[in-house]
Amino acid sequence: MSQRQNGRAQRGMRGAFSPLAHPGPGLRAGPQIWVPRSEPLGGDQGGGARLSWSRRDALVVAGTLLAASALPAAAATDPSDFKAVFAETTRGTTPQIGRVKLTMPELAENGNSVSMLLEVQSPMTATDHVKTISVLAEKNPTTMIFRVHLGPRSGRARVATNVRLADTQRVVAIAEMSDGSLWMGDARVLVTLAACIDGG
Amino acid sequence: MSFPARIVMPDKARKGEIIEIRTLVQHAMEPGYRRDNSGKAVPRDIITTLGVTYEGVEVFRCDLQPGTAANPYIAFSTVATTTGDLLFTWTDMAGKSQVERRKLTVT
Repeated sequence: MSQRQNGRAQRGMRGAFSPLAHPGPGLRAGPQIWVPRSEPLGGDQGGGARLSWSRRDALVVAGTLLAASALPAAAATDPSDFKAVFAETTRGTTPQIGRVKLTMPELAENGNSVSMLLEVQSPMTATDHVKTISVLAEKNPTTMIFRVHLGPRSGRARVATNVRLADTQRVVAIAEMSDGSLWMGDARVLVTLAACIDGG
Repeated sequence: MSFPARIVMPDKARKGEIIEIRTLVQHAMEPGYRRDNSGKAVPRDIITTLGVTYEGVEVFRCDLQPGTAANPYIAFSTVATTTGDLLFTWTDMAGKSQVERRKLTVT
C-alpha cells in the first residue's frame, strides 16, 4: 500500500510540474494535442483513483456523464459545465486529434475580443465535408462560444470570428464530418484583461 | 435597420470559384454576466444566429453565444454557382432580425 501511494505521489508531482510532458500512454506528442490541465483528484477514491489526469482520462470522463458527476470540482469556473457540454458535443465519444486547426493569438491583451480562425482539412465534397465546427472555452461562464454549420456549398472549411475569453485558458474546436467522425484541435490563449466576469 | 450590417464580398465571380464573404454587424452582444453601476445584472441581449442563403438554399449558418465578441465579425466562404442573391439574416434573442441582400454575378 505504501509503495503504491508513493508511486501515486510521484505521478502527481510529475503531472503537476510538467503537464504537457506526459500526454498519456499511447498518444503522440505534439503542439496540437489537447492535454487537460493536470489536477489532483481530491481524496482517495479507492485503489483505482489516480492523482494526475492523462488526456485519455479526461476524455473518458468527459464522455461519460456518470463519471463526470462523480468527480470533485476542479479549479476552473465551472468544469462540470465544460465536461457536460463537451460530452454533448461529442455525443459521449472521443474525438480524434488532428485535421482541425484553431488559430488564436498566444497572448490576448483584451479578452473581450480575441480573433479566431478555424480551419479544417476536408475536400468539402457532397460525400465528404465538414458538417459543424463547435468551439468550446474551458473557463468561460458559457462553455460553448461558437458553432458553425457548413456543407459542400462552403467550398472550404475556413471560418473566422472574434470571441470573448473570460480567462487564460485552452480553447477547443471540435469538427463533425459528414461521415459522423469527430476531429479536434485546440489553442492556448493567455488573457491579460478578462471578459465577462466584472462585477461577479 | 435594427442592427446596421456591413458585408464585404466580390460582386463577380467565375463559376465554381470559392469566394470569401466577411460580415460585420453592430450589436453590443450583452452577455448577461455584467452588472451596471447600481449593481443590477444587465440582462442578456445577443444575436443568436446568422444564416446565409444563396438563391434560396442555405449555404452557411452559425450559432452565436455570449462568448462571441461585441459587433460580431464572421468570415466564411461559399462556392459561386449561379448568378443570384445572397440573403444574410441576423436574428437576435427576441426574434428580431436584420436582413441584407447582395447580388453575385457569376460568369
